[in-house]
Amino acid sequence: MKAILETRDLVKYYGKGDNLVKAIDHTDLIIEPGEFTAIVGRSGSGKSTLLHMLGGLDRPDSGKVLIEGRDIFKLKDEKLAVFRRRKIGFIFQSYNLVPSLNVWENIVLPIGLDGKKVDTEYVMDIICRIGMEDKLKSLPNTLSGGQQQRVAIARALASRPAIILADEPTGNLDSKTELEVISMLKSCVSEYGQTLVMITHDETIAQMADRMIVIEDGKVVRA
Amino acid sequence: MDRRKRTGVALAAGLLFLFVTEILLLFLAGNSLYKEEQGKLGALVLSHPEQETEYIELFDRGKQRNRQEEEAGKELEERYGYTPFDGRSVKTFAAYGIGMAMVFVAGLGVSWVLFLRNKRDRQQDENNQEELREKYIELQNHFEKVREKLSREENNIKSLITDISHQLKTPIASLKMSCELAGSADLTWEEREEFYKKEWDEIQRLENLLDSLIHVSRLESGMIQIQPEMGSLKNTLVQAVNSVYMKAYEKSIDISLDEFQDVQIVHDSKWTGEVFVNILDNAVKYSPEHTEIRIRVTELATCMMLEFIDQGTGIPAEEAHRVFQRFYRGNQEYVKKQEGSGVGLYLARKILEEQKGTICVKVAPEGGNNFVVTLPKK
Repeated sequence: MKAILETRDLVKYYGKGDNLVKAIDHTDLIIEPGEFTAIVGRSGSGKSTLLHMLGGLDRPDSGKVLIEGRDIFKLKDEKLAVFRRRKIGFIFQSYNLVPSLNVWENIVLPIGLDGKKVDTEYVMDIICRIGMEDKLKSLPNTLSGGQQQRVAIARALASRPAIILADEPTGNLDSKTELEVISMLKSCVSEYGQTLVMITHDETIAQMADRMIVIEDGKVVRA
Repeated sequence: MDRRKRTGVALAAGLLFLFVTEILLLFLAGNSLYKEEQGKLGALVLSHPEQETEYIELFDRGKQRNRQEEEAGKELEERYGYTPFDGRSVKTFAAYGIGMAMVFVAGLGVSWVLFLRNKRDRQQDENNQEELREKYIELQNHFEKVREKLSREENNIKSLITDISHQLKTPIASLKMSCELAGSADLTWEEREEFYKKEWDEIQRLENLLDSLIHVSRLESGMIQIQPEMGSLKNTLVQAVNSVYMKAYEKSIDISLDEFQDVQIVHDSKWTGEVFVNILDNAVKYSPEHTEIRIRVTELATCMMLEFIDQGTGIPAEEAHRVFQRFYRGNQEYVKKQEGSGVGLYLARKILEEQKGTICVKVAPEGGNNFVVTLPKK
């Protein structure tokens, strides 16, 4: 099957000499379209760095990241930013909502940045699915953590990116909310045919994925 | 004519116009300079008609003025406080010069504006093109996905057939052996009875296995249509509990359902009930006697969460994500002792995913399993 996301001999080291940290150590990965992949590893195993590389947020020392067969690090910074905005939705542990914008504005922000028209019907569909239709005008600081993360998920989905990258999306949530957020994320992604790559240290969450990749010291030990 | 050609033509026309205007202005300037010279000559001749020939010669001379003449002119200018800019010819020339410059600047300005507009249009074109290209890629990906889905389904069915044949092999082999032995001579009545009983057991097992296999193959080949309808979650759950109640009673296992506010959710009650039965059936099968199975239902913002907590040994963490795989069975002795096809939880996950629900297993506080099911509220 044609990979949607692929890394080839990816390397990223931090520090020098005794302090050398091999965050990513010659990693090859292939992620297929429509797949829900969980990347599991202890903290410090290099999984976040890997996700940042996959999303083009950081450049590797060597190696390639191919999105739909295109080497993203061959693009200039500016083009890469546009490419990223169109192809990838990010979800972070800390939600990263803009505090001065309300729920609706936060969700459609990336679409606006891209100078595109908002597909209101589609976005409302997502908002209903995440159960926030009566909170459109609320500001992020009036929402609970779970609600904020649901908004962040809607924001990531709203511009219909092919790939969703989630970095410990439930790290700050209690176990019930965690389960809820993951099941919602999973059903949305499968509904809209997107590819989800999620980082987690929680193997329970990883059970729900189609595939689990275990990372240790920057290397894939089990895929 | 496309836009690029049109702008090209417009640009050429503009340039030609600019060129012609400038030439015209230059010609007019030259003409008026020429008239000025003529006037000057006329004035000189009129004031001193006697020197007419000399003046003509001076004006007519094609060669350059020599230094001496220039110096003399300069001296005269200085003496009378006269600057070259007071002269009519310079003024005319300056006026025409300014005119030409203005025309030129205006032309430049217009072409700059045109250039900017053109650039903007081109950028828009490029953006549109990019968008089209992306749409094309999206479509291509969609087709690719559909094609791959088809081939995956085909592979899936192939591997399902392989798996099923494999599953059927063992019980049939043992049935065959049993039959062969029973058919051979020299058996006492009791021995024969025993073989019959074994065969019967084996057939029973086969029947159970086939039942689950039929479920799986129907689900995989899309013959089971999950038909979600609005209905009471409590009803579905209670029916499931009832159907395993006797089995639990035989092992003195108590099934308790925590009180909860019933909700109407969209779900396929038959198949969702099957999921609950599978989970409870496992819990009863693998829990020791005199234990309790607790069911807890919690309403969350977007979904209902159901927990099935038993007091058994629990699934080891490293196996947890594999129990939902088709035909996977644990390696522990107590698992192998029990009958099972490795289909129940796989089926459960499939059925739930069809309804946008999820299932996972956690370690319960007392060490048993906690199967957590979520079903969306809408």
